[in-house]
Amino acid sequence: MNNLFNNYYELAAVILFVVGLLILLLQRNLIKKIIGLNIMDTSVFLFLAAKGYIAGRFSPIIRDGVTDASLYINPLPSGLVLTGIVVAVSTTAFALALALRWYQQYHTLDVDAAVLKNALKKGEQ
Amino acid sequence: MGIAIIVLLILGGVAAWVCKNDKTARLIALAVTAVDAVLAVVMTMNVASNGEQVMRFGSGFIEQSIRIGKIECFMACIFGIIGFLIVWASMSMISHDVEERLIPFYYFLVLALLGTLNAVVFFESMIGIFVSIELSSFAAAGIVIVKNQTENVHAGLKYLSLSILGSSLVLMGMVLLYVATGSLMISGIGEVVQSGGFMGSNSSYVVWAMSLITGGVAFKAALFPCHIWLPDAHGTAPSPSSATLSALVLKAYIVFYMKMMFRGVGFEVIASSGIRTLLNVVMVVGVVAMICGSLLAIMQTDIKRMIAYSSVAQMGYIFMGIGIGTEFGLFAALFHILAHAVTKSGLFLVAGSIIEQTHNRDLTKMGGLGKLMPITMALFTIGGLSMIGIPLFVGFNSKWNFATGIVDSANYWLLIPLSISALLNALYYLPVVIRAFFGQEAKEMKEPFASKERPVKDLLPIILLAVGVIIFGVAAGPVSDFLHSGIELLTSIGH
Repeated sequence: MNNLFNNYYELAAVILFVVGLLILLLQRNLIKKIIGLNIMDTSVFLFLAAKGYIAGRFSPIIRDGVTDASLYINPLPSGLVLTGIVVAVSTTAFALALALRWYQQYHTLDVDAAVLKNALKKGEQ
Repeated sequence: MGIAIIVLLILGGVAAWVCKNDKTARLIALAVTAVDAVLAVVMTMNVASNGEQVMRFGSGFIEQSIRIGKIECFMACIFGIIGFLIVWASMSMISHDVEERLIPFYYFLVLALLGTLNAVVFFESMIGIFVSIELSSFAAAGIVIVKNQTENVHAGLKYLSLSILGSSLVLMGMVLLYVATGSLMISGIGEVVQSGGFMGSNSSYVVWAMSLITGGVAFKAALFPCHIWLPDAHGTAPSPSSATLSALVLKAYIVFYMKMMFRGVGFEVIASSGIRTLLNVVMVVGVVAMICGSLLAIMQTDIKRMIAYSSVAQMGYIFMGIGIGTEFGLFAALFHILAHAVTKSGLFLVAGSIIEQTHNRDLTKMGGLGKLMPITMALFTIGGLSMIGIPLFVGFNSKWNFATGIVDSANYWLLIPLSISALLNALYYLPVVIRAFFGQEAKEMKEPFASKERPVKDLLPIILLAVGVIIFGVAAGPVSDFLHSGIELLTSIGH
């Protein structure tokens, strides 16, 4: 239990991940699904950033010519976060473009209603 | 050489897109994939005679490493040659499914997809792998959606969101491994994990990280309970896209997983730690996938959905091979990658030809089709027999390898699901063949069957794939030897 409280960043990240996952899987509205996707991505970034931080050290920008690595935090996870953010932004844009196309075809953002409409249309044919 | 292949494919794709003319785009795509196939073969011969190629560039965070051993060459050859045959077959088929104005964009997506798949396999550094995985899933979702029908948008969104879920899990696993080992290279991780004493105190880190990566790869490569996107995506995509997706795209993630598991963690650590339990789970889930994928395939009436569910079952075989966790199991899984790629791309292209000629996707209405389209149905028969595992076809060798792997690792109970699954495969491929050649019911139905065989020059790439099925079925020796020596490189940390 103590371990959980000491690692509360990781705990929060896992909770956020599950929240995002549930939104992605259970919500019927497409925009909400995409928001769930974003929450999930963000939780991974929180996890990454928390893993890179070392208490009491500085961000990895050389100050006053001090190059001793033990004074700075680990820059690699932060770099990974940047890469991840770029990927997440492009994913969101792609998913939103698809949602737009979806709306133009079904005139609804509700997944179940759209599937129903599609089935009815097939039935008519 | 590896870099050259990736750059060539992506630049070729951009060129196809920029030219804005569908005829030129097709020619560019054909030429680029042909050059890619030649380069892959040359690279393979080079690696076979001179050993691994390693390339490092950048430093620190952006330090990337490309390491090309025999297995990577094997995958590059599959991507190159089968990719070329699929693009060749798509020359005459694609205008049936994709609007003319979108054809240059379609070929951009296909070439970019092939390039990023090669990158997933070649890279050894986590950042490179992660970015390539993401890019390849965008391109893969793209070639589903490009058909521009409502079902495609639906399938594409489902595919995209589950892919992103998969890559988030993979990223989390990579970070955990980085935190535990301090390395972003697969072989760097391997050095730390396989050094004595590490697993004692950090075992739970590695097990958690590998579980996350397994979960992510299960989504990306459609392991059974996570396969829900596959039938929609593969069933509704244009037929050449379906062939690419199931023959090539799923396989790249599998090879990444193999490298993480057998180079990053290694046989010895697997045998003596919690990873063994994880692999047992993978093995059991793979067995469930083999059976359930086939059962679901039997229930389908749409020809492409049936073939798509068959892919779910075949991915189960591959995961079972990985789950066995011995060199033989790994070899069987790798050989099945080849067997499935050759056979399934042929089957999807045949299904595409049938749909194009008859405008009929319903399996129950295909009676007597063998008399109208004898060559096409003969190719389907070859594919079906290979999937069932009849001797002389590549599927038989593959099943034989799995059986030897199972006996070698003493998990004898696995032989039962293996044979049941072969029987189930027969239950859904043979009725189609029998109905096509001996069924009469469709003779009266004029409309959908007022069609003829496609010209042989359009069928040639599919015929070549079928020839491949038979060649690898009769003479698998050289490939097997190459794979056996490749596995040593795959599992060694080296350099």
